[in-house]
Formats: sequence, structure tokens, C-alpha cells
Amino acid sequence: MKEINEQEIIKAVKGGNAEAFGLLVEKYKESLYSFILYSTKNEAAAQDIYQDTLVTVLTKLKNYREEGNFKAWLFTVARNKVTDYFRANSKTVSLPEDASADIFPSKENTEKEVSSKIALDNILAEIEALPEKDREIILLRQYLSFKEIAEVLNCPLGTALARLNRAIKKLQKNLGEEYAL
Amino acid sequence: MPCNQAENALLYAYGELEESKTPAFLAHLKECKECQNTLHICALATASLKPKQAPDFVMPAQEPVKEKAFSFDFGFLQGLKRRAIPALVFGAFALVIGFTAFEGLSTKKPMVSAPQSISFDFEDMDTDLTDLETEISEMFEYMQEI
Repeated sequence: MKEINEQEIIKAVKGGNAEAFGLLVEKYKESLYSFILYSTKNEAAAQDIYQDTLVTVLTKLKNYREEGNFKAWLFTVARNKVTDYFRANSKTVSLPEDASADIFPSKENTEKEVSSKIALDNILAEIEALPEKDREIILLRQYLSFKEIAEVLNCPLGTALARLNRAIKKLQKNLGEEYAL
Repeated sequence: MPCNQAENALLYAYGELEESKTPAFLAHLKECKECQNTLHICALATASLKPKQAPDFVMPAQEPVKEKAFSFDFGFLQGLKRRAIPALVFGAFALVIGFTAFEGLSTKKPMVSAPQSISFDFEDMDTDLTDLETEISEMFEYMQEI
């Protein structure tokens, strides 16, 4: 498939071609939705935030500076929406067991899977159990470069690296010797 | 003691370590258990965070584009609003103070008393006028004589 020229698409959308926006959505939809879903641990909320993020981006695209990094901006909007969601639901959302049930396979099903699958589910559960800041940096690194993460978090690249290092060390400690080399 | 190559381990794990630094880091990696574990955990985290299928994005209904017969940007009012509200409140307060002060002053005794009314004694005035007439007529006669 021919590489999509992102800047050309953005220009087209800014020029009033809303359909061109579909091409941008196509390019980032999976990583964007995965980031939102793993962050919120709630499928219904993730779908709303995903939709809301894209509507906001479409609406505000006319003010977007073309020389900027679109992907970093897209994830900044999504991150802000996730933060708003947690702020609005801080008294009502109970995490993590009940909310994560619809994302992760049940224990009974997992036992029927191969052992590597169990291992991965355990790792995912440990990532989910990390403090929000640590979970966030691990999730962001799955979809963005360190430079883009620094842009999203509005911090120096070294700070982003230090934060991820801390999060990985915590995850390693929580997983225990079983997962060490 | 933590390894001083921890950041390079993360950069290498996600394919962002500069090529020039890679050979030295790989040599270090062979000996460093901590960096080996960092790479291992990063790989496990990536494997466990499987991508999820996104729902369809529903494009919001577009509003019909109106003909631009006349447009004026009222954006500057946004800044004005921020200053105008305190100014209006202050203005209203000043008006109340001013009005109260005016009311207070108007009900107090004036500091300078009004001048007394002047009365004329018209009887005396008549007398004076008769004298004046007499004087004028005498003067007139004198002039004629001259």
C-alpha cells in the first residue's frame, strides 16, 4: 500500500475535506484505541473517549501547526480525555478487578490456554496494577517514540526515559523471580 | 548499585539506540544481568499489550456551510470580557457611592447661608425721585437762560 502523505491529508482536512480525515483515522485507530482501552480498563468508556478524541481532533485540526508531530498531538488529546474521565469518575469508578473483566479473559478460560498465554495475562494484570503514572509511560511507549512521549508529557527526553526505567523496574519487582532471566 | 547503561537498555529495547552506540552496549549487555532483565521485561510488556480492534469512527454530522455575506471576528471581545466585568462592577460601585454622597450633601444644611432678601422703601424712593425731578427741571431752566 502506498505510504500516506500525512501532511497532504492534514492540508486537505483543513481545506474542508472532512472525508480525508478517514485516512488519518485509519492510520492510527488501532494504536489510539488500544492506548485508551488499556488506560481506562473499561470498554464502554474507551469507545466514548475514542470517539470524543477523534471529534475533538477533527474540530481543532484547523488550528494545528503543520510542522508539528500529528501523532504526538493526537495522543496528547487522548491522554487529556483519559485524565478527564478519571477525574470525573474518581468517586464512582472501582478499579481494577471488575472493570478489567471485560478486557481480560476469565481465569477459567485462561487455564485452558497454553502456559505462555497465562504468562502474558499475568504480565498484563501486573501492568494494570501499576500506579497510573507507571502504567501510562509503559502504554505510551508501545505506540510512540521517546521523542513523541516527551512531547505528549511535555518533559525532556531524559525524563521520559527515567520514568520508563522506574516503571519497568517496578513491574519486574512485582512479577517476581519467576519472570526474571 | 544500579547500572549506568539503563537508559541505553531501554533505547535498545525499543529500537532507538544510535547505531554508533550499539556495539558498545551489546558488549556491556553480555555481562550485565540487570540490562538483560530490562530487555526481557520490555519484551514481555510489549507481547502482553496486544493491539485491540478499534470501533468504527462515526463522523459527526456536518452543519450546512452558510454563505459568508458578512463576517466579523468578535474574538477580541473575549479579552475585553475579562477586563470589562471588573470595570463594570467597579463603575456600579462608584455610582452608588457617588449617589449616596450626593444625597447626603443635598439634605445637609448649606455651608454658606443664602443672602437675605432686600426690601425697598418705595415711599422714600418716591420722595427721592421728586427731588431729582425738581433738580433736573431747575437745571434745564438754567441752561435755557444761558
